[in-house]
Amino acid sequence: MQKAAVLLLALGALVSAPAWADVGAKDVQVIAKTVGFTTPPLTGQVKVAVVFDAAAAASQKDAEALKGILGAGLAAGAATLVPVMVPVDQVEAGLDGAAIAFVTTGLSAHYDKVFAAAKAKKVLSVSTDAACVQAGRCVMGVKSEPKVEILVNKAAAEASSVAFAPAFRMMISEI
Amino acid sequence: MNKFLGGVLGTATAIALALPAAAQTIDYGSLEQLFGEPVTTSATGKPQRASDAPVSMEIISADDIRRTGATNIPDILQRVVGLDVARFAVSQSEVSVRGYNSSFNPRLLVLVDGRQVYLDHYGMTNWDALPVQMAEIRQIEVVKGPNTALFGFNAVGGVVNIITYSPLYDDVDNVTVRTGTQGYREGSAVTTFKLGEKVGVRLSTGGYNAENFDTNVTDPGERDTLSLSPRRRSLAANVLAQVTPDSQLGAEFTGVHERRTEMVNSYFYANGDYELWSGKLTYTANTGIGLVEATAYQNVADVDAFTSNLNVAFNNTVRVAKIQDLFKVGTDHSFRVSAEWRNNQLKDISGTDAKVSYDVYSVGGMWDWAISEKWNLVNALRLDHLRLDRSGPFQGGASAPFTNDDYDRSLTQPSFNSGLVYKATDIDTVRLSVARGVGVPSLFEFGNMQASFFGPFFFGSYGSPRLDPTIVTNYELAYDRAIKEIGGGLRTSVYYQTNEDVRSASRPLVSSPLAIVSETDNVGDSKAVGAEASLRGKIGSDWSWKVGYAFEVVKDDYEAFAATAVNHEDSTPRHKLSAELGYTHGKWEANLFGQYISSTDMLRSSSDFLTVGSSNIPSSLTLAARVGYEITEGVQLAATGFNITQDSQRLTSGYPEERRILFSLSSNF
Repeated sequence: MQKAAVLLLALGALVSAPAWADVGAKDVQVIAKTVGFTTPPLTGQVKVAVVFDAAAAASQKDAEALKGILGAGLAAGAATLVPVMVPVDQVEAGLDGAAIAFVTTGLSAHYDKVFAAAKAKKVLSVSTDAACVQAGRCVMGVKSEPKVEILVNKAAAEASSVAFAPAFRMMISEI
Repeated sequence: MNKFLGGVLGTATAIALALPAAAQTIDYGSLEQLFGEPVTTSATGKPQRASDAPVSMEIISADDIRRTGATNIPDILQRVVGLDVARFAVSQSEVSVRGYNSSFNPRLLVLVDGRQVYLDHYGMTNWDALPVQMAEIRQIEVVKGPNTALFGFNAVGGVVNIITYSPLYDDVDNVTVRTGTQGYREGSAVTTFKLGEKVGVRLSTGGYNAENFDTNVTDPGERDTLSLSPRRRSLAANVLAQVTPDSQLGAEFTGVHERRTEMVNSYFYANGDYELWSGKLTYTANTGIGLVEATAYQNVADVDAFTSNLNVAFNNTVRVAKIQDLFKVGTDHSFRVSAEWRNNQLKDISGTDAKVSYDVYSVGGMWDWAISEKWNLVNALRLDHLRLDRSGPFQGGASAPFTNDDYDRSLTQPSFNSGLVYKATDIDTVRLSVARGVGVPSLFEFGNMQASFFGPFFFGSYGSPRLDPTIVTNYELAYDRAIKEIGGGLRTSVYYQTNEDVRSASRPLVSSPLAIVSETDNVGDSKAVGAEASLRGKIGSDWSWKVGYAFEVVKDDYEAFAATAVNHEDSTPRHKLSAELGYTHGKWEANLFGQYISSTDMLRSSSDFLTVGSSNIPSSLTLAARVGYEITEGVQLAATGFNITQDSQRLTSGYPEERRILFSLSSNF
């Protein structure tokens, strides 16, 4: 019985473990390259709210890395992605003026809260955590290795009033 | 945290990523940057990654093109495993996919940005008269096997879609000059610029002068013909405007004048003078019902074929109007619906008022179903309804075998493509496909008319309204594997193809002391089985390599009357083996390509038609090489050689091909 419980716990951990994780520079570049395929495309200074939980080590680590990658602004065609650090407990106000909310890993306990804020502010929520997209709490998930994969939750996109160009939609996976 | 991250901290702000402004037309550059691999619409009509395509295809990038040093597209296509390239003259090459090559090959659909550039009088492609400069080509997409369900007639052997840089999304400025053997002198220029923020323009022009291969002309009737000096002049203008945030309007105009010596479809040499003009309008819009694209274009071809004894003029006009809608239903189903009208006419046949024409009305649909992460099913179906017509006189009067009423004929033909893709793992992909393609007879085959009385004797050779289209059915199984260890991958495929009602040859109708009369007719059926494999990889950061092998056996079942006109069984090489090595380091780049082709037999006719027979082409090994050096930023000097190991070598039933050496200076600014 104990073994069964351990096995169930292990299986549960496997099931709940995000399929993708570990945000990296390539992932951020993929995200940056997608902003031109939103309709209308994001242009000019695009505020990226990096939502993190200081109490979660993985989230904090991701946030710091993203801050470093985006620096003072990542130029992406007609847009420049400018990061703003947003602690998850301040997410409602933190998304003011943001076009993108980057949901760091380790925020599963706050998915509902973050998505509710993103939905209300009509913000594109993105993550490297596929579980967030599969749960319908992030609009877009990206993976850059071994090949680029982009997953969009259609219901989450519609709820967030976010739309993508038809050609882009033809080339990605939607759920 | 990804360990890669640390190395880029602090530097990422300097990264500038090219992105689309508002992409209605497919922004190949941005999509390729996003997905890290070439993007194509040639497989199903919808944009997709090359690795997701449900057909066997190759995408040749602009870098690949530059590294070949080629001045023409056949020299590039020769490196694609499974393609056959026959260079009959310095300015004429014939290209086929998976065998069945011939002079004036009518089995290949060739497009530039979706506009057909093959010529409908014979269904052939004059590769040297394409209105594009090498520097304005973004990529060349090669689809192997029938794809008429997407593109319509002629796509029975395969499709070559040449994609140029976008006037609105891309910034290309290039000037190139070349000189070399065979008196070759070429200049070309390409520029893109913006008119405000919403209108992009691309202009290009180029031309060359050359001499035919210096050969011992054995046929006295061909001596004058081969004394011609080939030349080409071309220009093109492309405009793409962002009309509204959701719509774009494009316009294109091209013109080419080319003069060359060519092996014509009857396998003797003639000279061809080509004046080709085209105009095209495209409107694309993101709408509530999907991505809608409407296109209308007109191609005009004035072609004179002449020898010292012969002068035949072709006046061909093609008008096409088509509309398509790409849309997605739910999350897993993509659709493309299309309708097309095509009017095709050949006027002034044999110097008379005779005109042969047809209208084709087509509807098509494509359904792409992402069944799961691993399985994908694509089905495409198209129905073409052709109405043939003829007006004007017949040479020979009552001796002609047909009347204009015989041309009141219609044909309705379905074509389909079906492909199942199984992504077994992240690196393994299996594709199973079946396709039915329809090759409609050319206007020449329908409407040719060469007839004369020599005193009481009458000679008449006529095209026929009774011709049936050729039906090509292809069954294919392919397996691809990405191999990280070699920085590349393996691609393999096996296929079986049937060809019903192959075209065409002159069937004698009357053969008497007083008259010889013949009509163009289908010649029978043919089958092919083949296999292809290629392996490519990289060594370090400087070296790249590729090896390929193609095997094919063709079995013809043709009627006896066609023996001197059509022979695919013997003209298709059984073995083709190729290897390519590339090197790039700093300002240097080099490329070496070798190809072995097993022996074949090709048809050859004398210029007086009295001798027609088969000519043996021994197996051949050819080498091509290029070395380039960037003398200053954006300016490259290069030396390129084709067939470099031999002064001349017999590679077709035509005259031997000489070594070609070219020196080029190219500036991107």
